[in-house]
Amino acid sequence: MTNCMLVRREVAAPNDPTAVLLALHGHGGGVDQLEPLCRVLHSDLSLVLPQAWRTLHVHGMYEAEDPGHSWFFNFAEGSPEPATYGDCLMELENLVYDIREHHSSKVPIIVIGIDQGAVLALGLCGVVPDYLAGVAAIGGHVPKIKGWAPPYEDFMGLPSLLIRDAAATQGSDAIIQREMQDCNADVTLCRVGGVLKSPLLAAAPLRQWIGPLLRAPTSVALMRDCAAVED
Amino acid sequence: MAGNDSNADDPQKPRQRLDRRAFVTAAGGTIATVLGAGTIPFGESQAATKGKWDHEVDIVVVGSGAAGLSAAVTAAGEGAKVLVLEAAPVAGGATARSGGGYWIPNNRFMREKGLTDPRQDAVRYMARYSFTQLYDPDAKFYGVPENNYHQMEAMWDNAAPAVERLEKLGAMIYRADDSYDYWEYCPENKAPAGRLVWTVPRPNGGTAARGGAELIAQMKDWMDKHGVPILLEHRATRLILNKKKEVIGIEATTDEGAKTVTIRARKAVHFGSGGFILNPELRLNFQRGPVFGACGPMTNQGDFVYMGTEAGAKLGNMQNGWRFQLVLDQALQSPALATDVWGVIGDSMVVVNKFGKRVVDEKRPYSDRGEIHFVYDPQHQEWTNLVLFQIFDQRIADLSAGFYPFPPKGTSAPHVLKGETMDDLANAIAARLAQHGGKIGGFKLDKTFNANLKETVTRFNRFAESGVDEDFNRGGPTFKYDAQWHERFGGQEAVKANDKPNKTMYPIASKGPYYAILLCSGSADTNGGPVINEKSQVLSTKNQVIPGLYGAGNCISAPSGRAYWGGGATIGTALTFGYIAGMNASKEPVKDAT
Repeated sequence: MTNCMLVRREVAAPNDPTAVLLALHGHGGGVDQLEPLCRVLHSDLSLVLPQAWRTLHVHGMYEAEDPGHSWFFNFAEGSPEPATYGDCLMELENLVYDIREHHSSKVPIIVIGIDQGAVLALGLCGVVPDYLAGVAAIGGHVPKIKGWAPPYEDFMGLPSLLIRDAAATQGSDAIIQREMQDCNADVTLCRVGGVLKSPLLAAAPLRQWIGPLLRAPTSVALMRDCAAVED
Repeated sequence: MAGNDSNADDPQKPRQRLDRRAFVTAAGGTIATVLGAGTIPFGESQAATKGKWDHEVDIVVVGSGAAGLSAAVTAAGEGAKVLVLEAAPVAGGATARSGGGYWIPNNRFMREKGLTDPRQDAVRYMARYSFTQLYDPDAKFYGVPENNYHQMEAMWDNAAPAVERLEKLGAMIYRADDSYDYWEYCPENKAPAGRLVWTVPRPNGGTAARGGAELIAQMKDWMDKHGVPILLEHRATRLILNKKKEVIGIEATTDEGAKTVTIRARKAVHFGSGGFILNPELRLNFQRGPVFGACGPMTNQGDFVYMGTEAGAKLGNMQNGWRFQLVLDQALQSPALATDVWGVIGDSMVVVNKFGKRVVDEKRPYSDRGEIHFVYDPQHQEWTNLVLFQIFDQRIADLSAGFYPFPPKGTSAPHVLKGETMDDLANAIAARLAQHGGKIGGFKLDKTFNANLKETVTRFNRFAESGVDEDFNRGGPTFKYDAQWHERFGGQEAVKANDKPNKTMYPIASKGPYYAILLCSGSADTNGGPVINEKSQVLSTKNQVIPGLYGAGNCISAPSGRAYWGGGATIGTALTFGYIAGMNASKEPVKDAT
């Protein structure tokens, strides 16, 4: 039973999941964009990879190059169009409830987002902080919608990893870090050049950050396996 | 691909913490009546009481979609001082959410290729398609209303000059296409392919804007360079009239309604403010059938209906809209932001109604196909085709995976229902309809559905083998649109895999799994409102020009009436009549300020 209408790929962990990873693609991405990154983080993660409704195809028609999907309209830099942004945030809120319904409360839910997905991931901190064990944002910014405030302004010490692309996000790092800290998030900031174009570059800092959030301690063997995949 | 159940009213679920209304309000979705939209004499305006206007220009443009910005750029290009008001926090209106094509008869690419598009034939095509019940080739104005006839002439006369002017100014880059019109075989249509043109991305425009958003970005770039401001989050609420009842300015609210701004328009006010598809009251009272959703901006609330009628404008075409189909489950969840089903994907696929019978050539254009939902059954007092069912097999689900509304491979999609047999699928459809319950008036499958569906599939499979759809001529030689857009919407892989004589049809598999998607009616926007003449001037109920008031786009009574002449007819008419408004408004005399 779902209240979330988003198309999604769900990859079950082969064993008991150490966490459920909800991975949100960026503008122009799709259901496949973050799967490789998620797969190298840990072998016993369950993955939920939703896809935005809005195709960037012209009228959805065939093009030689698939331009991907978009969560919300963003005609001006840094300011999501409120209706489309809010719509996606509501769908994702429902998806978090779906995940909790399908997994015991002992299985932590961790959100990872890139670009527009990062904006939504950071938005979820103010909606369901009590459902989440951590949020990692690759790029993105803390969304501001005039006349709207998130239900929670206290993120309850939520572990938050901000992965900033050194080239693309210069200047905004301190702002986003402060905004998250002001909301009582437990912020870790790191800079990885080129990560917005190559999300796999986020694997090392993500693995380090995610380890303590997983249900069971990460085994050395599994970490070695994952590192081998990345290499 | 696997279907999931949906239950928006599941008591087991936590109560949703987010409230859609806050986002809708932030997006400018307040209904105009709440804001007191209408007209006001100058003496009662804040400009009079304060003794000054907040802004003073020649022309105020309301709305920043194609109809607004076309007028703004044109008028500014003619030397007028122009200011644009936009209710939403972002510019672009419905245009920015569109594919960004525009229907331009006799465009320069057609002329360069030697494609002739004779004026009178084009007008006859427009007249016949727009008013099929009135059209008479031997009658004066071909039997259609005189005003519409002149608008159609104006469309042919001005569409190409409009985009060429915008191109020459540097406010638009566009390219040719070979797309067929939406009534490609109409005898009057002597140029059935080539009228649709597309926006070309700027060389250094980045990837953020595509299609209609790119068109808006190009015009906005030009305006930025030439000092034409767009005031975002400024909702026009009242036309200001002088003692002669001429339009001389406008009031707008901003800061979430807390502040009122008055703008003097020395020459004219032009509206390109969008239709009323997101205003439930207007939609219920004026649309001629159930419309479940739209894809435009929240500001499509019919503001000009309220302001125009108070100014004495005559209304027209209120029953129509730019139709398409939507996925019912998405439309019910998010009626304002649904994604359009431009093409019904697939060859081994049929669309059936509650009786399990096909009702349409599934490959006809979305606009005409969208009308099929408005069939009323006097025997059962219901809209027979309120919900239609797209039925398809695993083969085409795989071949066209990822082409909306088919989900990518290896995903689950709540809007896709699955059954191992046709009976299983019928049961899944019945269960989903029951879940939606009151939201669709208790609409149910007929008891004959299962048996008829099997007969329908058997019959369709025979058509697919022979290549001839004896019932609806799907993909037939006269329906050139069908095959062209079948490939564009569903992908080349599916076409290559089809070895049957008609590429739009392939036998539905004898074994499951089978899938279904529920389809309902939608509109990009309505296209009714105050009536304009061929000069884009708004007309009163006495058919007289309301001085100083212009309109174009979805906020006015569309020159195209019921028809969608071809791909891009929406933006094509918006650009053209916006251009006409810009040219004429810039030549208006300055009106008395009191």
